[in-house]
Amino acid sequence: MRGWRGHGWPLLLGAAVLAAVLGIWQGELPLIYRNAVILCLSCVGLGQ
Amino acid sequence: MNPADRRADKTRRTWWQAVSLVLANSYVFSALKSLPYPFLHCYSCPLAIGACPLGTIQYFLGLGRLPLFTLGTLAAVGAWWGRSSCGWLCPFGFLQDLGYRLGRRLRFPAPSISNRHTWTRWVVVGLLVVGLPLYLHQPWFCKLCPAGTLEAALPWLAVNPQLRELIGPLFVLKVGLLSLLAAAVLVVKRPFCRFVCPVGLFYGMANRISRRHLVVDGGCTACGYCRDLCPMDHEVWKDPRSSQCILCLECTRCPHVRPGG
Repeated sequence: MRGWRGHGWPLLLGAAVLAAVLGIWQGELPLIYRNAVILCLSCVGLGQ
Repeated sequence: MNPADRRADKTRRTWWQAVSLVLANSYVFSALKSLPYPFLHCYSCPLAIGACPLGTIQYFLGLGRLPLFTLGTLAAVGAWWGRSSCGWLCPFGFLQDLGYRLGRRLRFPAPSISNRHTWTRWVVVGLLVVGLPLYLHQPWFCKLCPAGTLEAALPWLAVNPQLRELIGPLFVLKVGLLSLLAAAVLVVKRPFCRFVCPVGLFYGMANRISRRHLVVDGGCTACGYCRDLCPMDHEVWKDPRSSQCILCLECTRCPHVRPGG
Protein backbone atom coordinates (compact mmCIF):
# COMPACT_ATOMS: atom_id res chain seq x y z
CA MET A 1 0.00 0.00 0.00
CA ARG A 2 1.69 3.18 -1.12
CA GLY A 3 -0.79 5.56 0.49
CA TRP A 4 -2.01 8.80 -1.04
CA ARG A 5 1.50 9.90 -1.92
CA GLY A 6 1.67 7.20 -4.57
CA HIS A 7 -1.18 8.96 -6.37
CA GLY A 8 0.04 12.47 -5.69
CA TRP A 9 2.47 12.89 -8.53
CA PRO A 10 0.11 11.80 -11.35
CA LEU A 11 -2.52 14.22 -10.04
CA LEU A 12 0.02 17.04 -9.81
CA LEU A 13 1.37 16.21 -13.25
CA GLY A 14 -2.14 16.22 -14.73
CA ALA A 15 -2.96 19.56 -13.11
CA ALA A 16 0.39 20.97 -14.25
CA VAL A 17 -0.15 19.95 -17.87
CA LEU A 18 -3.67 21.39 -17.75
CA ALA A 19 -2.35 24.68 -16.35
CA ALA A 20 0.37 24.83 -19.00
CA VAL A 21 -2.11 24.18 -21.82
CA LEU A 22 -4.45 26.83 -20.40
CA GLY A 23 -1.53 29.23 -20.27
CA ILE A 24 -0.71 28.61 -23.93
CA TRP A 25 -4.39 29.02 -24.81
CA GLN A 26 -4.47 32.37 -23.00
CA GLY A 27 -1.51 33.56 -25.06
CA GLU A 28 1.16 33.56 -22.37
CA LEU A 29 4.07 32.45 -24.56
CA PRO A 30 4.39 35.77 -26.44
CA LEU A 31 4.24 37.63 -23.12
CA ILE A 32 7.00 35.45 -21.62
CA TYR A 33 9.04 36.03 -24.76
CA ARG A 34 8.49 39.78 -24.74
CA ASN A 35 9.59 40.02 -21.12
CA ALA A 36 12.62 37.78 -21.62
CA VAL A 37 14.12 39.39 -24.72
CA ILE A 38 14.11 42.93 -23.37
CA LEU A 39 17.15 43.71 -21.25
CA CYS A 40 15.60 45.14 -18.09
CA LEU A 41 18.33 47.44 -16.81
CA SER A 42 16.72 48.03 -13.44
CA CYS A 43 16.36 44.24 -13.02
CA VAL A 44 20.10 43.77 -13.33
CA GLY A 45 20.71 46.68 -10.97
CA LEU A 46 21.61 49.36 -13.51
CA GLY A 47 19.94 52.65 -14.23
CA GLN A 48 18.83 53.51 -10.70
CA MET B 1 28.13 0.49 -3.84
CA ASN B 2 31.88 0.24 -4.34
CA PRO B 3 34.20 3.32 -4.31
CA ALA B 4 34.64 3.33 -8.11
CA ASP B 5 30.85 3.47 -8.62
CA ARG B 6 30.61 6.29 -6.08
CA ARG B 7 33.20 8.37 -7.91
CA ALA B 8 31.48 7.65 -11.23
CA ASP B 9 28.12 8.84 -9.81
CA LYS B 10 29.59 12.09 -8.52
CA THR B 11 31.37 12.69 -11.82
CA ARG B 12 28.14 11.98 -13.72
CA ARG B 13 26.23 14.63 -11.76
CA THR B 14 29.01 17.15 -12.27
CA TRP B 15 28.81 16.49 -16.01
CA TRP B 16 25.04 17.01 -16.00
CA GLN B 17 25.53 20.31 -14.18
CA ALA B 18 28.30 21.45 -16.51
CA VAL B 19 26.34 20.56 -19.66
CA SER B 20 23.28 22.35 -18.26
CA LEU B 21 25.39 25.45 -17.55
CA VAL B 22 26.60 25.47 -21.16
CA LEU B 23 23.17 24.76 -22.68
CA ALA B 24 21.47 27.43 -20.54
CA ASN B 25 23.97 29.92 -21.96
CA SER B 26 24.06 28.79 -25.58
CA TYR B 27 22.09 31.60 -27.15
CA VAL B 28 21.65 31.00 -30.86
CA PHE B 29 18.16 32.30 -31.55
CA SER B 30 15.61 33.96 -29.33
CA ALA B 31 12.55 31.75 -29.94
CA LEU B 32 13.25 29.58 -26.89
CA LYS B 33 12.93 32.64 -24.65
CA SER B 34 9.19 32.02 -24.60
CA LEU B 35 9.91 28.90 -22.51
CA PRO B 36 10.94 29.11 -18.85
CA TYR B 37 14.01 27.29 -17.61
CA PRO B 38 13.18 24.54 -15.08
CA PHE B 39 15.64 26.24 -12.69
CA LEU B 40 16.80 29.69 -11.63
CA HIS B 41 18.73 31.36 -14.41
CA CYS B 42 18.64 35.02 -15.40
CA TYR B 43 17.07 35.72 -18.78
CA SER B 44 18.95 39.00 -18.93
CA CYS B 45 22.22 37.08 -19.25
CA PRO B 46 23.72 37.95 -22.68
CA LEU B 47 23.82 34.26 -23.62
CA ALA B 48 20.60 33.09 -21.95
CA ILE B 49 18.57 30.76 -24.14
CA GLY B 50 15.36 30.66 -22.04
CA ALA B 51 13.28 32.68 -19.59
CA CYS B 52 13.81 32.80 -15.83
CA PRO B 53 10.73 31.26 -14.16
CA LEU B 54 10.92 33.72 -11.26
CA GLY B 55 11.31 36.76 -13.48
CA THR B 56 8.35 35.55 -15.52
CA ILE B 57 6.18 34.96 -12.45
CA GLN B 58 6.91 38.48 -11.15
CA TYR B 59 6.22 39.98 -14.56
CA PHE B 60 2.83 38.28 -14.78
CA LEU B 61 1.90 39.23 -11.22
CA GLY B 62 2.83 42.80 -12.08
CA LEU B 63 0.37 42.59 -14.97
CA GLY B 64 -2.27 41.22 -12.60
CA ARG B 65 -2.24 37.81 -14.30
CA LEU B 66 -1.56 34.31 -13.06
CA PRO B 67 1.46 32.77 -14.90
CA LEU B 68 -0.27 29.48 -15.68
CA PHE B 69 2.24 28.20 -18.23
CA THR B 70 5.25 28.87 -16.02
CA LEU B 71 3.62 27.44 -12.89
CA GLY B 72 2.40 24.46 -14.91
CA THR B 73 5.89 23.81 -16.28
CA LEU B 74 7.46 23.99 -12.81
CA ALA B 75 4.75 21.76 -11.35
CA ALA B 76 5.17 19.19 -14.14
CA VAL B 77 8.91 19.02 -13.60
CA GLY B 78 8.37 18.88 -9.84
CA ALA B 79 5.77 16.11 -10.06
CA TRP B 80 8.02 13.89 -12.12
CA TRP B 81 11.46 14.81 -10.83
CA GLY B 82 10.90 16.49 -7.45
CA ARG B 83 13.71 18.90 -6.67
CA SER B 84 16.20 17.09 -8.93
CA SER B 85 16.56 20.17 -11.16
CA CYS B 86 18.32 21.91 -8.27
CA GLY B 87 20.81 19.07 -7.91
CA TRP B 88 21.40 18.14 -11.52
CA LEU B 89 20.65 21.15 -13.74
CA CYS B 90 20.71 24.49 -11.90
CA PRO B 91 23.81 26.48 -12.93
CA PHE B 92 23.67 28.64 -9.80
CA GLY B 93 23.53 25.53 -7.61
CA PHE B 94 26.46 24.11 -9.58
CA LEU B 95 28.52 27.25 -8.94
CA GLN B 96 27.73 26.98 -5.22
CA ASP B 97 28.83 23.32 -5.25
CA LEU B 98 32.09 24.36 -6.92
CA GLY B 99 32.57 27.16 -4.38
CA TYR B 100 32.12 24.77 -1.47
CA ARG B 101 34.57 22.31 -3.03
CA LEU B 102 37.05 25.16 -3.39
CA GLY B 103 36.54 25.99 0.28
CA ARG B 104 37.36 22.39 1.18
CA ARG B 105 40.51 22.53 -0.96
CA LEU B 106 41.56 25.73 0.80
CA ARG B 107 40.83 24.02 4.14
CA PHE B 108 38.36 26.67 5.31
CA PRO B 109 36.25 25.69 8.32
CA ALA B 110 32.95 24.04 7.37
CA PRO B 111 30.39 24.53 10.14
CA SER B 112 27.26 22.40 9.84
CA ILE B 113 24.43 24.93 9.52
CA SER B 114 21.03 23.67 10.59
CA ASN B 115 18.16 23.61 8.11
CA ARG B 116 15.75 24.78 10.80
CA HIS B 117 15.77 28.31 9.44
CA THR B 118 14.79 27.58 5.88
CA TRP B 119 11.51 29.40 6.57
CA THR B 120 13.40 32.44 5.27
CA ARG B 121 12.47 31.24 1.77
CA TRP B 122 8.81 31.87 2.54
CA VAL B 123 9.63 35.45 3.48
CA VAL B 124 11.54 35.88 0.21
CA VAL B 125 8.65 34.48 -1.81
CA GLY B 126 5.97 36.40 0.07
CA LEU B 127 7.77 39.72 -0.04
CA LEU B 128 9.97 39.80 -3.14
CA VAL B 129 8.34 37.37 -5.57
CA VAL B 130 4.63 37.93 -4.84
CA GLY B 131 3.97 40.91 -2.55
CA LEU B 132 6.06 43.73 -3.97
CA PRO B 133 5.70 42.74 -7.66
CA LEU B 134 1.93 42.51 -7.19
CA TYR B 135 1.57 45.94 -5.60
CA LEU B 136 4.48 47.91 -7.04
CA HIS B 137 4.54 46.20 -10.48
CA GLN B 138 8.31 45.80 -10.26
CA PRO B 139 10.31 42.54 -10.18
CA TRP B 140 11.84 43.06 -6.76
CA PHE B 141 13.39 39.63 -6.46
CA CYS B 142 15.29 40.28 -9.71
CA LYS B 143 16.48 43.63 -8.41
CA LEU B 144 18.30 41.87 -5.56
CA CYS B 145 18.97 38.44 -7.10
CA PRO B 146 22.67 37.48 -6.84
CA ALA B 147 22.25 35.04 -9.73
CA GLY B 148 21.19 37.98 -11.91
CA THR B 149 24.19 39.99 -10.75
CA LEU B 150 26.58 37.17 -11.64
CA GLU B 151 24.90 35.97 -14.81
CA ALA B 152 23.61 39.23 -16.27
CA ALA B 153 24.79 42.47 -14.67
CA LEU B 154 28.52 41.69 -14.55
CA PRO B 155 28.66 40.13 -18.06
CA TRP B 156 26.73 43.08 -19.53
CA LEU B 157 29.12 45.55 -17.93
CA ALA B 158 32.02 43.54 -19.33
CA VAL B 159 30.71 43.48 -22.92
CA ASN B 160 29.16 46.97 -22.95
CA PRO B 161 31.33 49.60 -21.24
CA GLN B 162 28.70 52.32 -21.86
CA LEU B 163 26.46 50.67 -19.27
CA ARG B 164 29.01 51.47 -16.57
CA GLU B 165 27.64 55.03 -16.51
CA LEU B 166 24.37 53.61 -15.18
CA ILE B 167 25.88 52.07 -12.06
CA GLY B 168 24.05 53.31 -8.99
CA PRO B 169 23.28 52.38 -5.37
CA LEU B 170 21.16 49.35 -6.36
CA PHE B 171 24.05 47.86 -8.28
CA VAL B 172 26.37 48.37 -5.31
CA LEU B 173 23.82 46.61 -3.11
CA LYS B 174 23.55 43.74 -5.61
CA VAL B 175 27.30 43.29 -5.80
CA GLY B 176 27.45 43.42 -2.00
CA LEU B 177 24.88 40.61 -1.73
CA LEU B 178 26.73 38.57 -4.34
CA SER B 179 30.04 39.08 -2.51
CA LEU B 180 28.43 37.98 0.74
CA LEU B 181 27.11 34.86 -0.95
CA ALA B 182 30.46 34.17 -2.65
CA ALA B 183 32.13 34.24 0.77
CA ALA B 184 29.40 32.07 2.30
CA VAL B 185 29.62 29.30 -0.31
CA LEU B 186 33.23 28.68 0.69
CA VAL B 187 32.16 27.56 4.16
CA VAL B 188 28.43 26.71 3.93
CA LYS B 189 26.84 24.16 1.62
CA ARG B 190 24.53 25.84 -0.93
CA PRO B 191 23.38 28.76 1.27
CA PHE B 192 21.30 30.38 -1.48
CA CYS B 193 19.45 27.14 -2.29
CA ARG B 194 18.71 26.44 1.38
CA PHE B 195 17.71 29.83 2.69
CA VAL B 196 16.70 31.98 -0.28
CA CYS B 197 15.74 30.23 -3.53
CA PRO B 198 12.00 30.42 -4.35
CA VAL B 199 12.33 27.89 -7.20
CA GLY B 200 13.78 25.41 -4.72
CA LEU B 201 10.89 26.12 -2.35
CA PHE B 202 8.40 25.37 -5.11
CA TYR B 203 10.11 22.12 -6.10
CA GLY B 204 10.60 21.26 -2.43
CA MET B 205 6.84 21.21 -1.95
CA ALA B 206 6.56 18.83 -4.92
CA ASN B 207 9.17 16.58 -3.23
CA ARG B 208 6.45 15.42 -0.85
CA ILE B 209 4.58 13.63 -3.62
CA SER B 210 7.02 13.46 -6.54
CA ARG B 211 7.60 10.30 -8.53
CA ARG B 212 11.31 10.46 -7.84
CA HIS B 213 12.24 10.28 -4.17
CA LEU B 214 14.54 8.66 -1.65
CA VAL B 215 13.89 5.59 0.44
CA VAL B 216 15.70 4.82 3.70
CA ASP B 217 15.58 1.16 4.73
CA GLY B 218 15.14 -0.25 8.21
CA GLY B 219 18.86 -0.89 8.66
CA CYS B 220 19.62 2.84 9.03
CA THR B 221 21.37 3.65 12.31
CA ALA B 222 21.14 7.46 11.94
CA CYS B 223 24.94 7.65 11.87
CA GLY B 224 24.90 10.94 9.94
CA TYR B 225 26.92 9.68 6.95
CA CYS B 226 24.20 10.82 4.52
CA ARG B 227 24.23 14.32 6.03
CA ASP B 228 27.98 14.52 5.51
CA LEU B 229 27.53 13.53 1.87
CA CYS B 230 24.52 15.80 1.27
CA PRO B 231 25.22 19.12 -0.51
CA MET B 232 22.30 20.58 1.47
CA ASP B 233 23.36 19.30 4.90
CA HIS B 234 20.09 17.37 5.10
CA GLU B 235 19.55 14.58 7.62
CA VAL B 236 18.06 12.15 5.13
CA TRP B 237 17.04 9.50 7.68
CA LYS B 238 14.72 11.97 9.44
CA ASP B 239 12.71 12.85 6.34
CA PRO B 240 13.65 11.32 2.96
CA ARG B 241 11.00 13.45 1.25
CA SER B 242 12.07 16.71 2.82
CA SER B 243 11.76 19.93 0.84
CA GLN B 244 15.51 20.34 1.43
CA CYS B 245 16.40 17.23 -0.57
CA ILE B 246 17.66 18.08 -4.07
CA LEU B 247 17.66 14.39 -5.09
CA CYS B 248 21.27 14.55 -6.16
CA LEU B 249 21.60 10.94 -4.92
CA GLU B 250 24.95 11.62 -3.23
CA CYS B 251 23.49 10.01 -0.09
CA THR B 252 22.85 6.75 -1.96
CA ARG B 253 26.51 6.01 -1.34
CA CYS B 254 25.19 4.85 2.02
CA PRO B 255 23.90 1.29 1.57
CA HIS B 256 20.73 2.14 3.52
CA VAL B 257 19.53 4.88 1.17
CA ARG B 258 18.26 4.20 -2.34
CA PRO B 259 16.34 6.14 -4.98
CA GLY B 260 12.64 5.32 -5.34
CA GLY B 261 10.19 5.99 -8.16
